[in-house]
Amino acid sequence: MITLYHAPRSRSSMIVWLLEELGQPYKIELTPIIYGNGTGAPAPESYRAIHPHKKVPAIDHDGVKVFECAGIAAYVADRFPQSNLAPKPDDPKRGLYASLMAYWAGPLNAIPTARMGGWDKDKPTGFGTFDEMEAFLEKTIGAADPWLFGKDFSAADVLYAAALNFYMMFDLLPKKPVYVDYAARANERPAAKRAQERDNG
Amino acid sequence: MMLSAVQGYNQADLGEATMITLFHYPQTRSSRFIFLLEELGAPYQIHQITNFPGKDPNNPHPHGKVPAIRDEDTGEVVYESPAIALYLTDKFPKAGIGPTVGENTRGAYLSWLVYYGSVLEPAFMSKFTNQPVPRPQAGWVDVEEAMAHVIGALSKGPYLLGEKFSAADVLYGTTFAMFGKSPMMPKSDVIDLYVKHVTERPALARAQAKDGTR
Repeated sequence: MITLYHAPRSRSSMIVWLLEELGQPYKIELTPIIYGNGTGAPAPESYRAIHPHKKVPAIDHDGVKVFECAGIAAYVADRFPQSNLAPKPDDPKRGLYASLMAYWAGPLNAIPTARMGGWDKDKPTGFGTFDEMEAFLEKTIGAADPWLFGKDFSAADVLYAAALNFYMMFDLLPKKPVYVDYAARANERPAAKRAQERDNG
Repeated sequence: MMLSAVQGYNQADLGEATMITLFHYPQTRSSRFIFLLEELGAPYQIHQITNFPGKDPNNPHPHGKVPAIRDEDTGEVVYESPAIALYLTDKFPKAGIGPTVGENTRGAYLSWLVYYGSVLEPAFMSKFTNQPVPRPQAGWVDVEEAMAHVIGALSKGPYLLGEKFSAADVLYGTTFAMFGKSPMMPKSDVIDLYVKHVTERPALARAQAKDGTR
């Protein structure tokens, strides 16, 4: 059994979606966090045993604990290969899959955050430039047909679609048709709709 | 194109000759992947890129950075350090430095690899550029909180996954060794000992001999 430590309408919402796509039994453990707008409450100190910084998401799968969205996605997709949510290890798409997962957690996470904070206005941040990241993202999403690795939807699609939804909502990415179309396609999936219903727990 | 075939390998162990090309520039983030390839005993060649930082037309990295690898079996390109580490340990499991799918430490291994790229590097970069971390909004935390987590794990140690050295230690150990006594790094005997364990490994000495000059 998978337990998801989750706070409604937070980064862990995309893991509800991922678990709906996975099709394995799971339960949600509602976990308090402090939200970006300052509302909410901190999790109890005991929660640090699950997540070192008392954030969400984290999962516990029969005693195996995983945190970080991309870590969780990589873990469950490989652990349950019947879900067909990741190219198999001997699939030539595996290299791009691994790269896009790490890129999501690295530059695609840090660069828009830097922009949100206005840090890249006057000097380079060291994360890479926004324009270069955005050009890469446009090319990557533009190549999705219909998904990042072709006809099979993957765990990486959950992460990228969730990021596009979030960044476009906060105007951290331009609403280019290529992003809007891909995100809309992903949001139409039955698992995405079930996840929205389960988001509040 | 400057290709230097580097490493002999035991073909009987690996079956078909598999070749990894590492796109590399000396004394950068790609140096530790020579270390990892040495640990894995993987057959590899180094392509030292020209015009760094800039665009070498032969470098497949989307932003012209290093490291990147190309698996010459399939032509697949992999970039981003945590992805390269995961890809290589999954491809060369016999070295035993990356828990495989189904092993109990796989979850911790993936968490540490992703944490490196999404928390530790941005935390150091925020400190380096003097930007406070907006804690609820950002996906990362400040250096002090991140290092408290790392030090907590290493106090049980000696490695991030406990008794067994893994590719995650290649990323973390070389990072801490590079920062050395920098004021960016919290002072810690635990980290000093960890750096000693990682940097004493014979594979690192072999890698340093192959790092090259700029």
